[in-house]
Amino acid sequence: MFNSLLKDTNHRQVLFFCITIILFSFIITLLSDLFSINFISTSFIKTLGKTLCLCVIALSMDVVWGYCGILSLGHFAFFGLGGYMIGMWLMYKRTEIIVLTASISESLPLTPQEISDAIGNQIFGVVGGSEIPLIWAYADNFYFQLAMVILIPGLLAFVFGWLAFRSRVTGVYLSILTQAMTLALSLYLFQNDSGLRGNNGLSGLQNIPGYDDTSQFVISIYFFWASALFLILVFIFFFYLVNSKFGSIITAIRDDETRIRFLGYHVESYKLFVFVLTAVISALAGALYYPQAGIINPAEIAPIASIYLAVWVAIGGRGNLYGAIIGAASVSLISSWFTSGQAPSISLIFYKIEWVNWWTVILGLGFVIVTLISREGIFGFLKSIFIRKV
Amino acid sequence: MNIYRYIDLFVDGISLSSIYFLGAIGLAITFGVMRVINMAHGEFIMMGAYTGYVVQQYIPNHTISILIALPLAFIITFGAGVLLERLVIRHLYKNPLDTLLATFGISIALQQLAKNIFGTQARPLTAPSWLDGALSINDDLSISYIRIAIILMGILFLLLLLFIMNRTRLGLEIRAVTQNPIMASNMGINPDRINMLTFGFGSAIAGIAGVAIGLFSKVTSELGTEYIVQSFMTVVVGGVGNIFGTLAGAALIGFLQKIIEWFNPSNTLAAQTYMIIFIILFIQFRPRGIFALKGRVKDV
Repeated sequence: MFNSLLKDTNHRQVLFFCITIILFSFIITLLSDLFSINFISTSFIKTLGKTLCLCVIALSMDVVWGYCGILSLGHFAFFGLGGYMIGMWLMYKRTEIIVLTASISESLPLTPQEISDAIGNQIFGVVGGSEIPLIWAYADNFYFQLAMVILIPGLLAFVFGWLAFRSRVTGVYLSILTQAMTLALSLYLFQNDSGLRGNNGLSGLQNIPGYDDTSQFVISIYFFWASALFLILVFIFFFYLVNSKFGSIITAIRDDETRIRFLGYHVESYKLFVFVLTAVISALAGALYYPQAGIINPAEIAPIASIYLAVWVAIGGRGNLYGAIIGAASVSLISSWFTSGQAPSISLIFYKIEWVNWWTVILGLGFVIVTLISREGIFGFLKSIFIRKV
Repeated sequence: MNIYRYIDLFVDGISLSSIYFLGAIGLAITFGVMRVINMAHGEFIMMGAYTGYVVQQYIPNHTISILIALPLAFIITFGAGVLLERLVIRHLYKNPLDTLLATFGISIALQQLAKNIFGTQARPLTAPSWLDGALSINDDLSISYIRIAIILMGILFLLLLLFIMNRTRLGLEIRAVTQNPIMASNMGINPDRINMLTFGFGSAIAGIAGVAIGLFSKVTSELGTEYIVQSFMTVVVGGVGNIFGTLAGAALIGFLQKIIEWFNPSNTLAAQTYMIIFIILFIQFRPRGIFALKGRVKDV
């Protein structure tokens, strides 16, 4: 039976993908373990783990845009919300531990009210408050916040999508509307009285409560593996989704919405489903991403982030799951290499080229060239070379 | 509470609307008329503002330098717009969403270039001294001259644009090409040339608006990003393809924001948030904006 499964090229492709990612994760883990810990630094493992999460949101973007034809410029809003929801638990729990540890030396045990006041002071002192806002009421409950990671972005996507698709806002208008949504959310979170610490955002998320004795290195390996496994799961899910009958319908909606509507399909429901589904998966990716990043603030969900996301997918190759992963991984890794100042600068006689300053210029022009030359991005380009050889 | 407070609010609303109008008017042409999503529009505004700054470095007299900067900004951004159209956008007319990606690339490249040339700190673009001060009518009501100048500038732009679109040969040809390029070319109009000029013209207007915007806000490389989303919303809310639509959109957004701020003066961020939420809801009821094009318009 296993053999017959493997005969299908689809299953072979999925298996090949899973093996590649797992091998890659093993190699990274081994390299960091076998040689001294510094051979692959903790921060580099975090970067890799974060990149895997970005690959997941790129997959979501690819499904919603490349397959369903909805150019959403707001998926980073869901990603960020997911991060905020898990960040609330991380920050609350950690502050609680700090407060309790500090109170051991005192003669009288603290009353619950005193504990809550101290936590409020610690977290909200920076925005000039000490009361714990209502939205933090269950922040000490991991499962509640985990549910919120799915529910809040899912609900936002549902309400927004329902309104937008119902009145048949399509194409460019929808893109601008989603952009407005993410701008509104980030502006809202920038306020100090939004209850989420304004422009300070949530910080210290890299410290996982209950794992205080575990070194950051080990935690980063855990998160790296979690991200890799999540990427594999999402890939398998999306792969079979887009290759199913459902996938054919959403691709057809992308190509000719009106015709599909006249064939009797309820186009709006399909679009709404895809929009909400990808939003929730983006949120989960965000919940895995921000503990590795350590900090989240409203600037993360500014409209430009979501445009970058669209560009990654376009560069990698839209309408193709591998393309999304290639695009997100290559562009974000190369960008972080160039902008972190690791790239050697080139000295010309009259001018010294600092990559930190010039990388964005090259990247921008690269976007233009890819858009002009190949609609199918890097993956389409590679495929055309490969097919010519055969 | 007296009547002057309301007048003050009204003037506030008009001047904010004028700012949105100035930011969006170039887009009303490139996006509204040509349906090109030019994400680099904000960077043309920035280019105009920096032109004003550079001119002031050479000409200390602020009045003369502004008078020189306005046409210079027009020429520079017109050239940049034409260049962009020829090199990039010309190849992408069939896919409006692709122009979004390509022009976004241009946008971040231009932003970084500006950062490399002028640094990250804000550069001053000083208004002439006769624009300082305010017209004070009484204790409750005083209107700064710069606000009046912005309002006048907005009106001037509106009239200029209406004149060009409705009363000149170029405007006629632009309208012909956007309505039906094939028929227009049968009538002896070269659509290629008109597209180039239209895009250049839209960009040039953004450049002039940039000089005006630079007078009251800080000139930084991020100036454009502050205006781009609002500008697109202004055009969409007003109704694509209609100059009066853009005016109506700017007025709606500007007044709305001022009124929300009036109820909660300490919090301008909240006002912007509610304004955007209102716009999202508004689009539900009028997906094609205030002034919708009549007839069966094919979706973009």
